[in-house]
Amino acid sequence: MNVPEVLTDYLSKEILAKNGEPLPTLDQPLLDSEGGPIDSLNMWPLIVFVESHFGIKIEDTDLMPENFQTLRALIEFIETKHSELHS
Amino acid sequence: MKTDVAIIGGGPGGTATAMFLSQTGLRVTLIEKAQSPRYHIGESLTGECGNCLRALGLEEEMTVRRHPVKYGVTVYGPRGKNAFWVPVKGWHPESGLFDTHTWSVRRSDFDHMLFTGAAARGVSVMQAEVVAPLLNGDAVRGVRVRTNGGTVEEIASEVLVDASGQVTFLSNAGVIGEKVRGNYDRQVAVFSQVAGAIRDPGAANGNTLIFYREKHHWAWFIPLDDQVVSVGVVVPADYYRAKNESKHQFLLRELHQLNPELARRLPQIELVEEVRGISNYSYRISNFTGKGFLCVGDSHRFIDPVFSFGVFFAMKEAEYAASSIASFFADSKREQPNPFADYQRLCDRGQDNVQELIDAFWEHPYAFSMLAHHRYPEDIIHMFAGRVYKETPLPGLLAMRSINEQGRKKRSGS
Ligand SMILES: Cc1cc2nc3c(=O)[nH]c(=O)nc-3n(C[C@H](O)[C@H](O)[C@H](O)COP(=O)(O)OP(=O)(O)OC[C@H]3O[C@@H](n4cnc5c(N)ncnc54)[C@H](O)[C@@H]3O)c2cc1C
Repeated sequence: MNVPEVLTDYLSKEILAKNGEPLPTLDQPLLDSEGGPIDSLNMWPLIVFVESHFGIKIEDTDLMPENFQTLRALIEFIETKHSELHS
Repeated sequence: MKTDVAIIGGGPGGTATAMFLSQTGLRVTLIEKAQSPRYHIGESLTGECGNCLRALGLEEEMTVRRHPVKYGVTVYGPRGKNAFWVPVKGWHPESGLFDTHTWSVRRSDFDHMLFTGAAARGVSVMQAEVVAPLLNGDAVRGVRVRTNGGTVEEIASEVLVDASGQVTFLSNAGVIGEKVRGNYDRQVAVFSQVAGAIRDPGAANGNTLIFYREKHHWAWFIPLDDQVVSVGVVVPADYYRAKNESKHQFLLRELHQLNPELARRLPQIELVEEVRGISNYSYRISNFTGKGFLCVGDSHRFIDPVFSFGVFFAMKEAEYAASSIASFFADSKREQPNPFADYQRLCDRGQDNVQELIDAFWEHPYAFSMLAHHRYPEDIIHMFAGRVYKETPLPGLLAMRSINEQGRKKRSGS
């Protein structure tokens, strides 16, 4: 499983291409409240994708900005969820 | 003068209470200080508010008066893209959700319809200002009113209904507690009406549109008739102050800048109403019932205008208040310390649930969007319609509650 690759691929194709925006670096903001490309209305398809692609369950209370703030945070979050699942 | 029930205020709360009570045979006196019709803000109605009107037998009159039909609300994202559609849906215990509609209204016409409707159903309506409550210990036993001509008169009542809106009459008079600021108190709304706006074609032309810019910064677009649309901008009070503009300048500039989709719909802005503003409109008063009185609608609580719950709460609480008042009169003993305690609990439940919805929307927009679009779309449709009084909370509501609680803990911890 290559989380960073799968994520950047999804972001580029599904979100950035439509808005004509460049891919944020690992530590640039992802959320529109901080100037990033993801707003509340394209956030949920991303979550649906992440759940089904990585086979993890994201709880309602996990849907907090700190888990999605940057690509780095999101990758860590997914990897933690994934390892919880397989431990 | 003596009456069974005295009602302060001829807005939707007071007039609907009067109309529901007119079916009970009680003597009802409605006192309104302004001359009807009068201007008021609050023009988009929820689905269940439409059902309150149907319950009062007013559906045909709403149609005849050509109030715009509302099938739902479109919420536009910050860049004018990614719109989110919330349909007005009814619910039937056997068949589930079904398509229906409600209305948006020019409040001067709508409130006048309700006011004259109450009079036509046998309610005594009176143009006068209520100036003081009449008290007997902790019980309310009537009101003192001053007519336009300046005559002062006392009206003795078994039950007083405070439906005075943002005036919060009983709170001001010290009969109930003081206003506690709500979560959305530090906001300013500036609004007017425009002609020549671009609306959606066909049946969608009466729908309400909401334009989101960022947290606590948004605009509404509510059709009032074939020509005129109500437009309003809501912003944080600090932002408003920093702009240092007249209300008029502020509104025109915001309508152009707030959201590209809103600007597109207003190619030239022809204002057909005065520009008005309001602030400090979010508050609650906790104990709003007692011996001889109860409050309905804005007279005890108003949360936030974003999802148009105000008139709905006023009319739904009116329905519950009328049934609670009817039971009170049917009870020969009348010994309870607070005969309207159950009514108060019911109102609190509905308003608290809507507070969760609104808090989740403002504080946790990403989570909210996931719940509304994917995890609990039906629950959210129920809540937007106004089905918020059920004893067992819907799973979608429980999810919002836990997200809000987590957010509150985090904020108080950091
Ligand atoms: C910016 C903004 C936008 C809003 N938008 C919407 C919306 O789109 N949809 C919606 O449903 N709601 C909306 N609301 C809320 C809505 O305006 C109110 O919730 C609704 O009008 C409450 O009805 P009411 O009957 O409780 O009070 P009101 O409609 O305020 O009626 C109270 C009446 O009491 C009278 N009165 C007051 N004091 C006295 C006295 N001493 N003696 C005699 N008469 C008295 C007043 O003259 C008034 O007519 C909005 C509110 C705000 C602030």
